[in-house]
Amino acid sequence: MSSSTHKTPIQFTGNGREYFGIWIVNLLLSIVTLGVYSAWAKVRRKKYFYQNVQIDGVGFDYHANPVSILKGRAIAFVLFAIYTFSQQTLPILSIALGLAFLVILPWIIVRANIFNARNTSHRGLRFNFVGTVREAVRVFIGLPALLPFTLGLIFPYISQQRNQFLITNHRFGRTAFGLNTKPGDFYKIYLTALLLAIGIFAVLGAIAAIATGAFSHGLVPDKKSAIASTIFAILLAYLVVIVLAGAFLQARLGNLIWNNASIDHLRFESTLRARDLIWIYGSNLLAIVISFGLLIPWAQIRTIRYRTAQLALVGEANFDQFVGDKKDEAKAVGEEIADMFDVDLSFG
Amino acid sequence: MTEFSADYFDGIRARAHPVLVQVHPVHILVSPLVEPEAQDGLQAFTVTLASLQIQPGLGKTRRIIELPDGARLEAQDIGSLASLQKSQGNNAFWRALHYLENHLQWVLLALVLTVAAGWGLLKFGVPLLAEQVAIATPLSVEKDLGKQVLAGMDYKYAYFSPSKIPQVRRNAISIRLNSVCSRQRPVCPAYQLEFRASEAIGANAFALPGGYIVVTDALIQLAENDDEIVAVLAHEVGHVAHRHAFRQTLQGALSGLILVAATGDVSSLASGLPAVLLQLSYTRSMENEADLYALNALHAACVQPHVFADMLQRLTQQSHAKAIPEIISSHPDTLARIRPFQITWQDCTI
Repeated sequence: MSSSTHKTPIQFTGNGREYFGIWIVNLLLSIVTLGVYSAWAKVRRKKYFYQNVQIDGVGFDYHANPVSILKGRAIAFVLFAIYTFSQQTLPILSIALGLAFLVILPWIIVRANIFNARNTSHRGLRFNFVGTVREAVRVFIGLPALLPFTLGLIFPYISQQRNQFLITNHRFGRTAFGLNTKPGDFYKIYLTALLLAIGIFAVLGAIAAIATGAFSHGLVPDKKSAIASTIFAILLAYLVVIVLAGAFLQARLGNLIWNNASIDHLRFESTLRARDLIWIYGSNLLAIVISFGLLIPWAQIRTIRYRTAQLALVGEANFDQFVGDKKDEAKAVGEEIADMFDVDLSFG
Repeated sequence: MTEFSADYFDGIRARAHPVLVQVHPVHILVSPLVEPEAQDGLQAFTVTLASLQIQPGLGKTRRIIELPDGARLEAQDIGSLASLQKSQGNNAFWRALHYLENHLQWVLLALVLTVAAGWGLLKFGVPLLAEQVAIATPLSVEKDLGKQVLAGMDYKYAYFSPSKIPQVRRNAISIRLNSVCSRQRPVCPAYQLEFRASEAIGANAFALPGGYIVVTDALIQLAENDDEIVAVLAHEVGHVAHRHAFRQTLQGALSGLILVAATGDVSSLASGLPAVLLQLSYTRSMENEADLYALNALHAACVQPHVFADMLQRLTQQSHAKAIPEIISSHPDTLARIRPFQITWQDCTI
């Protein structure tokens, strides 16, 4: 098929300088309004990112009502304050809150996905999320409950099920996203990550052993500091492993999911690389720390630019066949939910 | 009359229709740029200006005009429609915002103001708020908190072991502090003296929320007489009287919460740091308050204030070896601090 070889790049057209202005004004207004403006700031920030992610010169758009976001934040803020305070004064209440959060977690995940999807549009068509709480309970509570009995061996399976759940329940207009992954694909990636982690631990361990050998000739003053430095070395090794294996997982899983996702006749091509992610995250962190946070906008822009640059649409980029719901229907659904609990629960 | 070209999306199909938009005094005329047959039969139509939702400008992204039926126009340049926005209610705010974001001098001003506002909020806003919350909180809640913290230090973290100071000596110290307190006007707040031994924190005394005052064996051993101990304890009672420990706990929690709420999109790493850095200076002004309280208490009880100065100097001298005691931790300059205590009460007969 010749049409399947046609590639449309996804471009990010924003830049750090422009976003810095938006970011700093957002921050200023959020501080002087004691956080109230942060909901409007979030919409403006998301609009900037969405509108600059473009396919064939047309961007995405974000439509969330800042008041809904503010409500969500107020609820989260109050709950978090109660939780923090009750940890010290009334531990039973904090435990109860923690358990309650765990129980309603699937519902929160579904609500957050619905909120984000319905408030995102491209070419005048809204996205949607149709996953049910019942399915969410299965992949976010039911399956994880089996972890202890399977010695964690079903973790890659859970990861696969979650991604299937989240991707295939998204809609662009009326068209469903498809995802065709097998548990085996996830097992391969997690196994490689595990071997990678063990390998790094072994290498770091060998280096530490050699170093300790060198230092033990009278340089290490006493047993106490030797133990302290060993603990420090283990923590450092742990951090290195988390970062390296984490980047590896993110790149490989990202590629696996995008390369097997589809919508109608269109597929995706993702070419994320672990070493690029490590470089970007590492240099971002360094830049943010030495600039006292002023390079946060630059870091965010370059991360999203890299991610979009690695993603392309494969197939004839012809959007004629995508159809949305009639507007009045979509609106009725939206209002019904607004009556119940239309708030942004993504805490982002 | 101006005109511009745009992409029209009808909101039902994802297809982009290239159109020409002509701006008239009360409406716009949208006409397809290609023959109707090639565009699913899209015909020219008009929309009144009043029903247009012109999205505020954002960076250099395409301007978006939302039409009343859920359709939209996206264009690089919307010509005279941009100025039409002026007349639309709160759009003045968004226009100003867009202007600020795109002019370097205003961005720099915003940066300076952000830092100043953030600092002001943490420095003045949060302490004020913490004080109000502390006043509104019943003492019993504060006491529960202190109890939990002390229990945590005793068992969970095992900082402390039971005091090895003989009961008789402990009673003597308690009674002495009580008698100093009883002469003070207004009398001391309710407090509870706790004796503990601690390897980790050395000679130390500190107040927890809810009136718990912890004094370590090492501090008692370091003192040359009970008055020196009582002077330090009077300082801690000062912290209790002003509910400093509770206020500081609240300040920490509140700065964290407010920063998260205000910044939202900023990583917690960047937002958590200033709160921690500013904690130190809260403590310093509180220490001064507690010092003043101790000075007044000693005066009322006719204990010559040099005992406090002596004890503080001794604590400072030995502090480099062990962990820094709470009482001197926020005061690099002990000499300046003990100056008010280097006087002798002339109105006391004992």
